Amino acid sequence: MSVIGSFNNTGSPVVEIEVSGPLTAPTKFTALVDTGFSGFLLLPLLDAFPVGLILRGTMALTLADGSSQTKLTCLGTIHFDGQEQLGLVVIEWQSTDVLVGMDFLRKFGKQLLVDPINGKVELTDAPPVSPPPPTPQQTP
Amino acid sequence: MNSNPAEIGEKGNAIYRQKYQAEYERLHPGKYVAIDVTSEEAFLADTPEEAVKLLQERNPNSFFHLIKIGSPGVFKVGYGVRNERDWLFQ
Repeated sequence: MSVIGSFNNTGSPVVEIEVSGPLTAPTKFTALVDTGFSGFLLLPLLDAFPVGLILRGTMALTLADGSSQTKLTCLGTIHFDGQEQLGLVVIEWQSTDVLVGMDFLRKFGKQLLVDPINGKVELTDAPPVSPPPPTPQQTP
Repeated sequence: MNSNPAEIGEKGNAIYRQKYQAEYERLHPGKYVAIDVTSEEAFLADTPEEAVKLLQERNPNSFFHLIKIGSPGVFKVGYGVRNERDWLFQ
């Protein structure tokens, strides 16, 4: 299956997702697809409260300049394209953007097409991994 | 336990350095470990979700710090630091 996304007002690709905590119904978000983020989901702190995420953990996040910052983290579920996947949610105090990253694409088995010329954002099922070609036999 | 994440992270890192780092970096590089900052137990798994689930099954109300063994951070992001303020509740 494929999911059509769009571009936000800064020209970045976004898709619609729903996020739920252990005791709550899914809440809708527009998430920026950020391939520079290696994780699953990054939520601004104020968005985490309505979702009912239970914040009892921390982790270090490596920033683009190589420095690290300690962030709150928890488990959360993303509902997308008829599937649900549990993953690690990073809670960000300093940002207002909801991000999904490479682990989101991996867990949902999607490949990302971004075509800013034609205004097209599409997440499609990634093709199955093909086995490596057989190694040629060496002749003596 | 104070609910300041920087303190939880520092305590988790200190427990990891003292009790687990040398062995885990030799035997389990690239895996994930959730450190219970109260009991000082470590929960090791191949994925970050599994490490947290193992910890929460054993100690559902504990505060924890998650570490990717051998890496400075669990995840990377493409942005930098905008300001130094990192916390709101005390």
